[in-house]
Amino acid sequence: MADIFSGVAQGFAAISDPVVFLSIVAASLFGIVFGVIPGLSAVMALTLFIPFTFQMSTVMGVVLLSAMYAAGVFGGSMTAVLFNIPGAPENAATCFDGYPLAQSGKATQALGCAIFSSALGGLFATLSLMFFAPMLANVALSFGPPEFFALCFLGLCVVIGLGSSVSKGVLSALVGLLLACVGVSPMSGAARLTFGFPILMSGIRYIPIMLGAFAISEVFTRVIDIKQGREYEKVTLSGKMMEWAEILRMKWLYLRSAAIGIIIGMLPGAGATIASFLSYNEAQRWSKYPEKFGTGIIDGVAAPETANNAASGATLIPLFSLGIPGGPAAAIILGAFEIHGLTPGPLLFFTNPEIPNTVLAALFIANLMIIVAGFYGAKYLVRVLMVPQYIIFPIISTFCILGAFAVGNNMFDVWVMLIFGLIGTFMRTNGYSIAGMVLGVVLGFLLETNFIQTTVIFEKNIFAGFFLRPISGTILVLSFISLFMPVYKQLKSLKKAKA
Amino acid sequence: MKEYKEMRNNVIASFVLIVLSLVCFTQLQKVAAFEAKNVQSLSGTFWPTLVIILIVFTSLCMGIPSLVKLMQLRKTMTEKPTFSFNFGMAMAFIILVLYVFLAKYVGFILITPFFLFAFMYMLDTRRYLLMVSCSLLTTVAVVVLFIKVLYIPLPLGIGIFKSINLLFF
Repeated sequence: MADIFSGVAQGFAAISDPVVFLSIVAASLFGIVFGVIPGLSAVMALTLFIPFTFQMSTVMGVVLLSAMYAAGVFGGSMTAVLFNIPGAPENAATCFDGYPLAQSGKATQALGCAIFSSALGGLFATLSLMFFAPMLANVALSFGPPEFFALCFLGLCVVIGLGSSVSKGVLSALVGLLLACVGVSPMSGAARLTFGFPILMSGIRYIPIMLGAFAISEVFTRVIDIKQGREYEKVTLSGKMMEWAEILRMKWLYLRSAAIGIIIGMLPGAGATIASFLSYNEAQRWSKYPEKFGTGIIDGVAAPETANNAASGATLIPLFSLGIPGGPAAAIILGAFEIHGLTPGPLLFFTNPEIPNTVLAALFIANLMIIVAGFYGAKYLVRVLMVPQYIIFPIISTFCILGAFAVGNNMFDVWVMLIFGLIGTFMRTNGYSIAGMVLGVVLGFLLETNFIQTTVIFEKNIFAGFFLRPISGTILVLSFISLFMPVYKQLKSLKKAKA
Repeated sequence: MKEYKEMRNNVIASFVLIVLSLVCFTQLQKVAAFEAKNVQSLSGTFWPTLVIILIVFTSLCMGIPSLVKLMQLRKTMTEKPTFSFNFGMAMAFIILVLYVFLAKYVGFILITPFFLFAFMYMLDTRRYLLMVSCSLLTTVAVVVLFIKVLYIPLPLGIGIFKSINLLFF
């Protein structure tokens, strides 16, 4: 234990250098800006920044990338709260309650909660990286294809269960899964559902789908309202950003969400998106007033934001302790290690202890930056809501189009975004789950590969592969419960109404 | 009327999804035939076929009861149901499509202020000074962020437009 503290103290000493410290602050702000702009993400920020690390020392490069990522995940929550447009899929669950809160004049509180929860989630992940990295990494290693399949399936079932209609939720998720099938098959290498278009060989990217379904459909909905003379009430900004009484009330919610985020985040490939939806679902399940979820409740912002930042921080756990990247961002950081001729893994703590120690210190600073930049910046950012809609929505459309273009530097992604703008508008007005479709696209590849791998491993007894392994069996049972519970409730209420 | 519209949209959505699924299924059969000749590993069509079957099944589960309900509602309805056309949304979509289409020929930088102005005009704004200044400032922000910071190769257009756009790079 003393070793850990002295190591982190050395890390803090390393970043006390003004140049290093200011670089971490700048990297955190850069990450936040990338998170705020629709279409740009923390992962994209890392990708763009990696060439600059060539000239830096290993410690500096890895530290800046880690800080940028930690702060970047938070940025997307701001647009989710203010405009119902998640900066990244992991912020999609924040829209459910963040946006209704902003519409009811509580944008300041919603943003304050998102800021505090994000920082808290990140700090929990940093602490778990500091104390439990090797132990948690072993837990992650016990997850095989059936467990990963079960986890992704649970994520989808949870989103389906959150909607008003189960059949519409299932259909939305299935459409997302079908969209994820477009392109080269991971099993045989054959081109599927490309209809002879070479551009479809690489599949349909989820960012343009997400931008179209969430952002452009929101623009269309607002245009319809403006044209029909339905003016939105002017948003009034009042109240404190965060109150201690509120934080204390949600102490168990924070702990639960952080635990979900850390466990899911450290599993390679699972990611912060599943964590945020699961955490939202758990917050609703444990709440004394579950019926208020989705109408604008602060707990609905705190849960996903704590979990997604905890998950993004936890992706570094398998990277540092086993050398396995937990997600795309961790893979980029792994690339930065390799550029400098280092291989992360258990030996890293002995051969180059200054790297994990300094990264830990930088993650603390990055999470504090979320609070500082968030609280100061949010005061001004919420004023965006006062800008007339006829100005803000054309500007949002421009950034969405350019954001979609920036994903792959091609116009195809922009057309995909526009088409999904129309589809999203239909879904929004008819009670389909946009989040379910987006999650289906995001998880489609993982679900397919893990399903096929399980069927190959357990060729003779597939049922045993999925259901008789303790972790996958439990998760699958939970998935079916969360899928069929709303159906059971609907049937029960129908019976009551008939009686 | 609200329930009628919901049922009608459910039926339309189910029908569209079933047709799309069948189109996808037909395409997958060609892939399966190709794999049977050339690929030794597991078929890549297994998973999408499973998804398609589930889509058709769920669409039927939603579509058939909605169709039955729709027929019942039609018999009892006194008002004639109408299709509502959202002119505003259609205009917004056309402006966005024109923006993306023309960006290829005129270049993103030159077309952006015109797009923003047209969109604001479509939203019934007539404060011209504000509209022009917002359009230009947003374009400046786009140039700084996407070209100067991110080095994203936005379409430059053709001919004289390309020469003008290149001045910003």
